[in-house]
Amino acid sequence: MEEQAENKISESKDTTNWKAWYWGLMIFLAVQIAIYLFITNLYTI
Amino acid sequence: MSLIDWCVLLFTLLAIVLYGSWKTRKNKNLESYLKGNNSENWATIGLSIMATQASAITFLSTPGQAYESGMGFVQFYFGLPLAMILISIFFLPIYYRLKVYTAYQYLEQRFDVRVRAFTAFLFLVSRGLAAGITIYAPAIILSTLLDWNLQLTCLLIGGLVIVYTVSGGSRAVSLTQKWQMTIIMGGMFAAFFYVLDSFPETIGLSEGIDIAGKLGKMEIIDTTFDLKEKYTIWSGLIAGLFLFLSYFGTDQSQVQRYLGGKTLKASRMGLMFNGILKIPMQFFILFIGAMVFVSFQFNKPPIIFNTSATNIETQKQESLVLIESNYNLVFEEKKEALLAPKTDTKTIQFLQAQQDSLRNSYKAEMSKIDEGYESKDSDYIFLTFVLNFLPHGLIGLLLAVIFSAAMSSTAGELNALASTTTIDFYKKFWKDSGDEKKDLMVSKLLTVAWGVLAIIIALTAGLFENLIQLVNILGSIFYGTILGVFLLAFFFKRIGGTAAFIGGIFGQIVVLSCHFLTVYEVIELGYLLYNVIGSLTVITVGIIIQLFINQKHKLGSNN
Repeated sequence: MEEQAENKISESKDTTNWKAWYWGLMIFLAVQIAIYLFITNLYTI
Repeated sequence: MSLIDWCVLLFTLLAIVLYGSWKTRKNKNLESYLKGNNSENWATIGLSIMATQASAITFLSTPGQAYESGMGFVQFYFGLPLAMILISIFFLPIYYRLKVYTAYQYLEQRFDVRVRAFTAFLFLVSRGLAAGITIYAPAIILSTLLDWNLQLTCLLIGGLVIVYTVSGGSRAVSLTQKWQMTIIMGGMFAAFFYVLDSFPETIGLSEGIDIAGKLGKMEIIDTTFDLKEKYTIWSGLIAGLFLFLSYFGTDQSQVQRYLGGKTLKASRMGLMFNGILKIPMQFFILFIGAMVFVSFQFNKPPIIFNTSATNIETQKQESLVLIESNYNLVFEEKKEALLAPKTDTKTIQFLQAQQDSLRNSYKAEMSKIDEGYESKDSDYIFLTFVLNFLPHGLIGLLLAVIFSAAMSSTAGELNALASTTTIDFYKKFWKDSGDEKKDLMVSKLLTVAWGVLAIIIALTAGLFENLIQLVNILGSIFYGTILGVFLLAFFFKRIGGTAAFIGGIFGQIVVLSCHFLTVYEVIELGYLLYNVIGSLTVITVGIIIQLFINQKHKLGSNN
């Protein structure tokens, strides 16, 4: 019980906006794929 | 190799080993040995995760892959960022809450001891074999090109890893991996600039990209939906997601890296770090390979890169000499065409096709003369460039890169194998003495034992013709099943231990059947799909068995 409470406290102290991180990572992936697609189309034989 | 190369290589390797051993000399109990006292920050975790995944063969083989077949391999990693997010949301909080040493401990709490032992066993089999090959694969390339003794090279890599992994445990692995990764990336950047430097004066980076593009090396994305194709955007996003969920979420060699984090936040940040940097890093390594290809348009490459595979007498055969002289003529003609101000792209492509065809004819002829000839030589391309075009000192650094990569992934593997054997088998089934010192000693002895076994596998790997290929797909054969069991545990709350256990066994049988049917050419499947098939079979069979058990219980209680 004590351990669970400790964990909850440490999790509640974490003020990081994880949703923003996750969306940011997905957008970064999409941008990379778009760039790779652009390069591919540029050089398709 | 010159004296300065030897100095750079030996200094780098010894410095890493001594640093890892010295910084972690105070390990006194099992927790600090296996989890590093939860003291790692996010950067160490992130670098450590990347270093565990990137083996020496990544840095030897990946540029060669771009040289031969373009940069499409980067698609393999497209599922990784999403896997990092899912692990961060679902897997990590549970591991932290339960304060587990190994991922498989959770399965006992969720299901029963059979499921825990089953998944831990699958991990030990796949990772135990892979650790040997992680040592063997770079050793065979280094020994071939540098004329080193293969056995001694295997012993050197394995021996150095054992020293600091045994003395410092998980923390030593993470700390050394941080520096190994720094050396690896520093070395690769230096190599990249020397590749560009090897171009003729009139050719810069943009012209280099243009040449690589005209010759088909810049086709990165393949949008066709074909189950037989290994690398397409779909196989990367879907099958890759399953593979990386399993590898990062359930493989102890990775789980152990982020379980050593100071806080849940540090571990999550470490995963985000990997999610952001992994694809650009792989792109960069592939791009180096594409630029090496451009460099070899102007600096004559050998017709085959694994020249030591056959003796000189064989290479003097008349038919081979004839093919090689034609190859040289085509090379010169193509070089002139590329340097001329206005040359038709089709002419260059035609000459490249001719050159490729002559290279293939040469390999086919070699295979006829020498049955033991290994025609796949793409793993030797990058190192051939390094040895011929890099200045002394940097050659030593690049060799240190390869050794560092081999050592970092092997260390992560040995550390995880010892942890799983100690926690999931020794303490669980044999003897839980409760004596911290004794447990620590057992854990250290098990690290040595796994290290020795890895070296033995590396030393005998040459006896098995297709072992490298086999171990490359070994992960996919077992990961699907392990992931399926974990997905049942996380998302199907009503599934019990018996259903999960039977589902796991079924899943493994189905994946093995698919693999053998593929090997014997009855069906055609890319090995990445084993991960999807294994996971889905475990989940489906698990649900069906649970429904059957529930029905039986209902009937029993009605009677």
